[in-house]
Amino acid sequence: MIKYGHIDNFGITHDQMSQLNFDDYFQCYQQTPAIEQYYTEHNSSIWQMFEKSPQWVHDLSKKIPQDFDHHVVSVINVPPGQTIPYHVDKHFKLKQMHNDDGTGVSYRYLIFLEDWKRAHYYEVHDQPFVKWRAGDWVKFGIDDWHIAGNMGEEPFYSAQITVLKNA
Amino acid sequence: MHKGHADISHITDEMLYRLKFTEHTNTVYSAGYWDRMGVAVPDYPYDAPWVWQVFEDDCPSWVKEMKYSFPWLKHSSVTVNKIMPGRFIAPHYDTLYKITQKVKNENINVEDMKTYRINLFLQDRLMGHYFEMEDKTWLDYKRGDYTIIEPNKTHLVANLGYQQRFTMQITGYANAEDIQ
Repeated sequence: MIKYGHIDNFGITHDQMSQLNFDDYFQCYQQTPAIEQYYTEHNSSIWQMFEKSPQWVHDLSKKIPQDFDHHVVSVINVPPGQTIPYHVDKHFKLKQMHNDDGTGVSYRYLIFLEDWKRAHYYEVHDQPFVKWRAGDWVKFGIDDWHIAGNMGEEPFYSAQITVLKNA
Repeated sequence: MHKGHADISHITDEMLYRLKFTEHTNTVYSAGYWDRMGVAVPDYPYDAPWVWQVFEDDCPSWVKEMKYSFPWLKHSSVTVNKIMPGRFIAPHYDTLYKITQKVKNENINVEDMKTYRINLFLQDRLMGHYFEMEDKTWLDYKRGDYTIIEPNKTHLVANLGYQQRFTMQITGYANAEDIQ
């Protein structure tokens, strides 16, 4: 189940992106043998921030469809030349904080924080997605394989609102 | 974006995977593209901007014979590119150095013709395989589809998937009205 939407009057500026103070840089999941073979810390590492994200990131959770009971937020910077290779999300932090018993259904809203720039790329469930506008979002589930990449010269910023609907 | 299709039903995946590639090129400098744009060379990780290539003289006959599928492209030469997963050719425009040198060295008359490069997709688009030119994308190409890359048109290709990506480039001269 993939859904697409847009947040009107988005209003997030490039300066806000530039002021993000990431402190966690790590290599992405390797979930298949092919990914292990071809992707290394040198071509698949990203910056990410979770609870320490600024208030405007937390506030994004109020601007998406209110179809959930709990949520966690994060913001990601994919630097030039890096790929988040083919993977499914674990929703680890959401489960850790809100879903100890494993009930309910979780989804992720991926929100594009800036207009699409040349060589920025996102694909979910074999559906490429480019030319987005700031505030566009994609909602997808825990079984939806996806990738993102930045072959351009500017950082690729996105926010993730991972949500849980109680059973 | 120009879109065409050629019959390559005789080209199998095994033929692609058996190709011997002779050059492994780092594309971080994008043939001077960043300099011309007046921006710093991006801080790409060392592992990322790489392409494998095999050029005309080292190509098997089935590659060279593809030139005959495009008779409107004169004095042409072929290459095959292989991009491994996690690798890409950064934004650039083609210098077409080899073909212009060939014409010059062989004193070939190309008056009134321009250089063109056919980019022929040798596979259906696979997950994470990407082509972008002048901010336009082709996201649903099939094997045998091709586009034409003109000089000074910024483009990039990438493989963010998990399977190797193969394309053929046929570069030559043509009159604009002859392009098919």
